[in-house]
Amino acid sequence: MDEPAGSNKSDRILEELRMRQAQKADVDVEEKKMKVVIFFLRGDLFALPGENIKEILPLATIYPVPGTPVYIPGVINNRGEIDSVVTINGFLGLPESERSPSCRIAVAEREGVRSGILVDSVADVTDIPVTTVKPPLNTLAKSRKEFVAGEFLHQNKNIILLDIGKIFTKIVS
Amino acid sequence: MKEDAAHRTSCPDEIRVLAFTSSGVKIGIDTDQIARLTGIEEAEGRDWKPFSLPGRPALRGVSSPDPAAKVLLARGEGPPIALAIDRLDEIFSVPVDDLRPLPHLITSSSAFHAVWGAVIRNGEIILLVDIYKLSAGRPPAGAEPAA
Repeated sequence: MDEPAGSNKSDRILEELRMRQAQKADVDVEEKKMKVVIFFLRGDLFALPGENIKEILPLATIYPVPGTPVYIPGVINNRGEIDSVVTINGFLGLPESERSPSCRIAVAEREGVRSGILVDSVADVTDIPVTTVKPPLNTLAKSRKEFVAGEFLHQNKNIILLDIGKIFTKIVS
Repeated sequence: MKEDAAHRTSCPDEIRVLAFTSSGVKIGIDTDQIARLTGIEEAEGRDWKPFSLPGRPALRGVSSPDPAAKVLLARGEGPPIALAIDRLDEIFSVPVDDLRPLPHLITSSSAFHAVWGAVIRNGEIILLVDIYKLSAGRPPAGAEPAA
């Protein structure tokens, strides 16, 4: 005996809704995103995870500290607190940058170390799907690879995602 | 507990800082470490062999001192400690609570431990230097420099 057309209709709808929600959850997992700060150094694009960046400051007076290595240009007055400033060019095999009004100081915190990082300019602050981050290419120079967490494409440009914790560890060790 | 109490009583509420400029770098020294300020001519005439701050940026060498440069003479016994400076800026008092330790990245990577802290004065950072630590390792007054 055939069931009436409306029989169990509500159950079927609810089942369909549950399936759709489950599919949506699957999609959400696949689309898990991370915030990145993308910046230029000597014309190359690099990125740092947004969770490591506390703030981005305009270029301020950097006070040199006698006896520090060349990659530490000095300290800044960050609203009454004193933060160190480092240049990471040397760790990436790049010559030091010229300072210009487009320079920014990205204040990063990782591995218990807090410091400003001097970059040539900030290109973007955006969310990217975590799945788009690929391991660094084997062809990457070994010296640079040590500090690279991965690579990803953003607006058709290849961007190197850095591990600032490894750079900080290298500096303080 | 006794040591903590003793430490607290030995720590002053404020220090007086003598601030000066050396090749564009603003430096401060606790006035308790300074006996007096004199001219470069007197320092050289007495063979005190004044030295200047080491490290980056390249600071003025004492081999060709500016005749207008001044010399800070450290308080204490023993061989004189004479630090050449470009100019004296000011002397001011600062509460100890306003003194700032240097960031970890600086203290851990610097081979130069005479800079022990900093103070922010009118928005500018003044690095605090211990003149006795600064003089450690330099040739004693009267010694000839290594060839």
